[in-house]
Amino acid sequence: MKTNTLRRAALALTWACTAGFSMASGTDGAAGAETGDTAAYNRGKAVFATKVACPSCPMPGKSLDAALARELTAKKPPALNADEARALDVYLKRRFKL
Amino acid sequence: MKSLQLIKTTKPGTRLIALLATVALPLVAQAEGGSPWLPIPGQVLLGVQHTTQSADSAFVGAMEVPVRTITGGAATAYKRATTTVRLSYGFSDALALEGSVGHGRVKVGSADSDSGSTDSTLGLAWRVLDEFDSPGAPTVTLRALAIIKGSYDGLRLAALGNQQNGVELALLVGKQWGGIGLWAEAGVQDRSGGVPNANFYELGAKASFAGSLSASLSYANKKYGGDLDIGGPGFSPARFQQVRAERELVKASLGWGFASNQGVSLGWAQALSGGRNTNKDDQIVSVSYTIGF
Repeated sequence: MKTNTLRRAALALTWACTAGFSMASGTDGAAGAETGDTAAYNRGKAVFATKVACPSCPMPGKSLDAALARELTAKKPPALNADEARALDVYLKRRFKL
Repeated sequence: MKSLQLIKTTKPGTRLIALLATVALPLVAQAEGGSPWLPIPGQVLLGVQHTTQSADSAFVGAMEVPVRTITGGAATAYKRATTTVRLSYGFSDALALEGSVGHGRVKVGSADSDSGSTDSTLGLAWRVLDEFDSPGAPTVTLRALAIIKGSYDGLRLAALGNQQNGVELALLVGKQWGGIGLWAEAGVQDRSGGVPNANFYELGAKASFAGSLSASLSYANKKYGGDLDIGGPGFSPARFQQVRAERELVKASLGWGFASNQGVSLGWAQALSGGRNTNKDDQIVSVSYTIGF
């Protein structure tokens, strides 16, 4: 009888503790929100790589530096739509603090 | 089933003693779930996220058991709310500072409740490979974080974490094609106090549309080492931190960058079947707001 009581107590203790233990394993929330510029910055990097400096682009293989960034922000490259142009503008200005 | 019958026949007095015993050591969430793409150089991003979650069952070992049974009728669900403030700063295009602090509250019916600051993190993310500088390659980022234990009481039923310091190391890989992005993260957490190392990974996809909107879907998996189950061979309350916990989540989110320096997102997640020594969350809902300076 005493053994059964102890066994039940141990089991109840074990399972009661599960409640606390199991509360928090793993990351539960989703990723944080992204600002408009953060999204545009990463999109702008892609635009430069795929629409400006790719092998078949207007400036194939061109390395990006502050001088080129100023040039590109002063004169929008052709073949970019409005969203792409904006994203590239954000990327260049934020990257080189123009 | 034999165990279930035993718990159901346990006397109320015994249950009360069990519930009052202060030996539970949960394993708190940390920073896994990050992004391989770093913040803008020179920009401080300040984010606030509020997450609520509830579960009406848990895995004892691999067996799913209702919360009502676990608590002897003192509760029908776990309820937890956490508010986290995240800070990041882009030192350069390839290096960023990351940190987080938070406050949490947990309630398990009339069985127990607690609140306090949750574990904090502080560390660096270093992008070692840029997909846009190396055509064909993915973006690869390494992250190292210190985990600083919170102020909550870890030695109780409704604990907010395992109250141990530690470190987290992670590798993040991502690739973007136009408005579509795929990413993967894999990492380890090493804590003091006998907590087994944890391995985690997450696989996700993200789509941007209409200029400022985005949606993501991901699968997250986290496993602690060892082979000890709650109530299994070799288990004792003093070894709660050493149990093998496993958890799978599916997550989805919608984001809106409604201003150049501000954004909001709504996230949803749910635990999948197949967990071990963890609760089985029915719903995890989070809202986030981020502002950049």
